[in-house]
Amino acid sequence: MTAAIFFSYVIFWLIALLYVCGFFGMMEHSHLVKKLMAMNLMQTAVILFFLVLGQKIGGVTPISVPGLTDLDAYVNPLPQALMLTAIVVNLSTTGIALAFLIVIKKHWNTLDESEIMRRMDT
Amino acid sequence: MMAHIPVMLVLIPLLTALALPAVNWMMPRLTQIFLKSALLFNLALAVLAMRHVVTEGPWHYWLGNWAPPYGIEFVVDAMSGTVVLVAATMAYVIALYARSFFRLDEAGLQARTLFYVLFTLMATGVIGVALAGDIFTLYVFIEIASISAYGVVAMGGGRAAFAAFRYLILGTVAATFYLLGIGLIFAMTGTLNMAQLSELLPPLMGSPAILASLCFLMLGLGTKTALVPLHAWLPDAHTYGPTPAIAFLATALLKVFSYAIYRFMYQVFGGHAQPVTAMALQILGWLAAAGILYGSVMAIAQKDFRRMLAYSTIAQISYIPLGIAIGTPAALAGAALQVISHSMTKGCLFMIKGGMHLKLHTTDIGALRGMSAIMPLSSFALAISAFSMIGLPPTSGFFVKWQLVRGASEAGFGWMVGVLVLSGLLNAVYFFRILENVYIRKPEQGGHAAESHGNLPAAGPELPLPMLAAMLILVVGILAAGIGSGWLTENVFSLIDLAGGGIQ
Repeated sequence: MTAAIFFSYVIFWLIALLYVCGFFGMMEHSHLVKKLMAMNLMQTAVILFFLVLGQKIGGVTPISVPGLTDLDAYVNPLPQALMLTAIVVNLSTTGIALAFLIVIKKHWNTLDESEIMRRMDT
Repeated sequence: MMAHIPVMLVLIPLLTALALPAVNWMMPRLTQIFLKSALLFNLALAVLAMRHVVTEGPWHYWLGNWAPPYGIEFVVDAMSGTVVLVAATMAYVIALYARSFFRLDEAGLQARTLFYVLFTLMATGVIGVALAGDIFTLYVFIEIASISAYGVVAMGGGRAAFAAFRYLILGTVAATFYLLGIGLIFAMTGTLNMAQLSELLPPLMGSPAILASLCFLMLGLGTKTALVPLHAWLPDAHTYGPTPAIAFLATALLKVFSYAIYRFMYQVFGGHAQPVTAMALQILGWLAAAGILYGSVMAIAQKDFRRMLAYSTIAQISYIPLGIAIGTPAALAGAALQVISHSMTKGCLFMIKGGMHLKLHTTDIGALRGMSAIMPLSSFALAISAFSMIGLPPTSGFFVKWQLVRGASEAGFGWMVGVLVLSGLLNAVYFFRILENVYIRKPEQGGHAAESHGNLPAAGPELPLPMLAAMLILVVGILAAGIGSGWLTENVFSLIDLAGGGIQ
């Protein structure tokens, strides 16, 4: 019984693992590009979380099947629509972060966070 | 047209931002006029919206006439109207200031049109967060405001780009926290509309998922507000970003996240009426008190005026969560007044900082000696803003503290009264040190303060007229908000809705 409950939520555990990996990766790495990649992992984990919320095994697209009005047969479209927006947000944050990295690389000639912090203080 | 004011408040800055590059490309001379008239028009609309709230009560606008929960809702009430009005005012005043500043700034910002585009987008995001009536729209506007904020901060050069990158990383992590929080709420209730959530959530408040979502939302919004200990991004971003950008970031942008905390605490999670939320509010109060003391102490330790202002922002911004945490009508009025007061005061201080940078080429506090002789008007503005920060009557800062103290003693938080008084004293320490340098101490022989005038002609006004006008508008505003605070509290802030969640 406990095992059954555990395995029915296994997808959420995996998403949580992905999220935590991203979080610690971001804390741990001093290289700015790796930080950015870890940040993207976190964002992706949240998107997966939302998509799984709306998912149903064997669910179909709403409206597309004529005559089907049973709510349980549909995949909830709202999380997907929301995540479309969130993906756009992720795209723009990643884009602007990469632009910053170019400026940082030009100005400091390094992408190592602790090195830049050290030089900024002096 | 009048019926569509709530959505126009967002659309006008958004369309202005998008049209600005085209206008600049076709008719470069008209760019500034176009930008300023659009922002002034938006300010007029904000005033009209506020008048509607005062005379007829909260305004619920449904986009495309789709009723919630299916459609998107915009809400103008006493609190959001105040935030919108402050954001629109600051956007206009800073646009007035920015042009002359960039023209004289030697570091020279190349992509000025881009700056104005990002700046206007930031204003769009701020106004959108204030108006959003559902929690996902709130997320979208938070990100519009934040992403443009990262962009404008990075325009200050190499150091600023690094500060902006750190801000971006922390800000985006905060956004994922926020998104997780609303995901959990959505999983439990199936809706995103705030009004509907406030009905559906009370029976669910005990569940671990809602508790987790409350934690995630607080972490996310707390980071964006720079609540101690989540403030790490703020000092560097404030120090290195271009002045007009920071003047908006430190004022309107930071306020709006505190406002979002208010919306969640009282209009979604039920305020002090729910044990879980009451606990969260208490923690918020402790963090805010810690922020007030930490920011003030760190500000005393700074030698650079810019960095001092950054830490003072951490302290002053925490007054708003403090008022929200206390949760009496008086405290909420104090928080709302702080939104107005601190925006004008800190906006004015950052503008003076820009003026010092242009005229004296330094923002080092020790080098400000004799500033009152070179820049009498700026020094006067500095003195009034400093009085407001310390909390001396008749400036608005005094009435903020008075309302908060009244709220805290009504609600039985005696220790918060102590924190507020102590914070006033600490503010006095660092602002009087500056005023002493500016007014009393004579410049040293051969001191650079007295001789260099930068790109400015030695004769004529101390700074270009638009810059002085912007500062003086804010100084008048500080005094007016102070003297008129009784009227504001009675007629506007008394309408702030605690949704039954005020402290008993």
